[in-house]
Amino acid sequence: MLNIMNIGVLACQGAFAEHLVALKHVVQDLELSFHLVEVRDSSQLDSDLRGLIIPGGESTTLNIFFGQEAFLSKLKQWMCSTNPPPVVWGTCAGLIVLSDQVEHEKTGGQLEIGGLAVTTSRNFFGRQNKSFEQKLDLLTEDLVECYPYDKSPNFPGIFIRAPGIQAIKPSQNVRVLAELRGYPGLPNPSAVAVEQGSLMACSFHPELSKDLRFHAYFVRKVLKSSLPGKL
Amino acid sequence: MGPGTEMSTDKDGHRIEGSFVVKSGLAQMSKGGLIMDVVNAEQAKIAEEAGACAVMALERVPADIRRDGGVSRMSDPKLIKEIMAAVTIPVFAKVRIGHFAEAQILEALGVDMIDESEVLTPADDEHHVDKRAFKVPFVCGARNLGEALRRIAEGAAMIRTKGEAGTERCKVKSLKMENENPLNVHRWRKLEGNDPSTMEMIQKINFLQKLLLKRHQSIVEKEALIDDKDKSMDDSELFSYAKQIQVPVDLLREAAKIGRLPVVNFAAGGLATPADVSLLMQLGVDGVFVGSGIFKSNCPKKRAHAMVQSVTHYKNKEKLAELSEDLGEPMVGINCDQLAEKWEGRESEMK
Repeated sequence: MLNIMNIGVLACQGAFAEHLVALKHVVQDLELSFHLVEVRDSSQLDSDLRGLIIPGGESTTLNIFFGQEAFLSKLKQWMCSTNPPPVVWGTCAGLIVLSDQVEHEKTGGQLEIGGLAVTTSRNFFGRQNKSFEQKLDLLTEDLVECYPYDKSPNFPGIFIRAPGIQAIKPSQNVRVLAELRGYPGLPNPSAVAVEQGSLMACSFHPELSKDLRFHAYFVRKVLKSSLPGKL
Repeated sequence: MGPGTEMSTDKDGHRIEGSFVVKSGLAQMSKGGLIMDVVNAEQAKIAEEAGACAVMALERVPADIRRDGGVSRMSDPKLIKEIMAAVTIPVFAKVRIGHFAEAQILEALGVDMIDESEVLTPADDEHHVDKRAFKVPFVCGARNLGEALRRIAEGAAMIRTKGEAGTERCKVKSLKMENENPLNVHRWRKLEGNDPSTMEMIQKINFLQKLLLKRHQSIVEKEALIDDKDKSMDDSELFSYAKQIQVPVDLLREAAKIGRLPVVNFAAGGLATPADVSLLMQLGVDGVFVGSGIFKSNCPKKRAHAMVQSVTHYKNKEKLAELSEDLGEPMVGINCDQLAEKWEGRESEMK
């Protein structure tokens, strides 16, 4: 008998609405029974919450939110003490807070969750005038095949004042999910979406595109982590 | 959700800059956030520290522009560059309505978004800037659906409401005066005749009361009819409504289909308290701009922080009460003279 399981999107600031819409479609299409929540309070970080998306927005604004009422420490506690560990997916600003190392923080530094063995540079891809769209290569069959409606090996990457993954610590089981080709100043190709254990992150915005496969991948991951051995 | 990925890369999959998706992407990332007017690098840092999701760089806040009068134009690039260097969050800046050259300059400076603003003195009384020609996204003001859709048709990636800067106290004052001494000139009628006797008066009153009752009844019936009728417009009605409010019909159709503007919409104009923020967020805006409200109050850091948190917690009444506590005086020292000119009416003639 399945209990109600929640998937949440941190609704402090940013494009959380788009993530919720994408999740809703995926949950409906895959006929799952997850309950979707907007997370604004640490009381919502309980054992029923099996997955959390930290959406794009401004990481400095997220920073302030984390500092309120010890939200950050409660979040870290929920991530570490819940068993099995919940899945956390950070997009853009979310990638920044999950990274172990961050370059170009605002003066005075920023709070972070860490956990992903990568070095990320804030606003690496420049200001708005350098923001862009480009097709990405998906590196794993699991992503390409995870959704019935789309099987192309490419994914539409939308980069808005995006952070850049500068380095990945080897020997930490970080798996690269998607790559960008031909960007000056970066290795060719370079990682733009990664996965490590129960964490996932990407520097682009899948929620702004119509391709739901990253969301489907995330939801499947949440399902797998919640029912060990049953899938 | 259908198949396929709509994306505007060219055939070889190279990157595309400045597409509408990319332009509106910045607006979408600003949702649920507060954008603050700042006049120097120091204020910009305070805004970033308080959690603003972007800053609007200008030389004078709109309330002071109104107070000073005269012509107001795009800010000095030196100031804008200083602000851009001081913070890591997006920087917006204003241009005069129709002044595409000011817009080109700001685009060259690398500002993240341009506000084609009625707060500055309009440069063109017939045309707004053709925003589609630019890679930088634009935000424009609107008072109603027609204006909003016209700006979107011109290429605006974001809309904000037009409020009257720094003037809520004025408005409240003048409304209060009207309330206390209403003129109601339109109700005055010249009557001819003799002084009626008491009997005639009573008969007249009865007659008028019956008439009033009948009118009330017919109103109630008509309202019931309206409620029953399908409120949404069909296609032919949309055509004539589009003509009436002077907007392209396909944009109107899209707005009708999704039940909102097809771009992000923020509130702007006179917001000064956590309650103001919550009010507008509950009415359905995606975020807020705050101008004089913060730096003209007597405790800017605290107020800035409270208002940023109010955008996130706009539905939480207890939290809002906490945030509203002990914030000091809102907008101290704003002039409240008669409004000689309302900016909301500033739009090109060629509507």
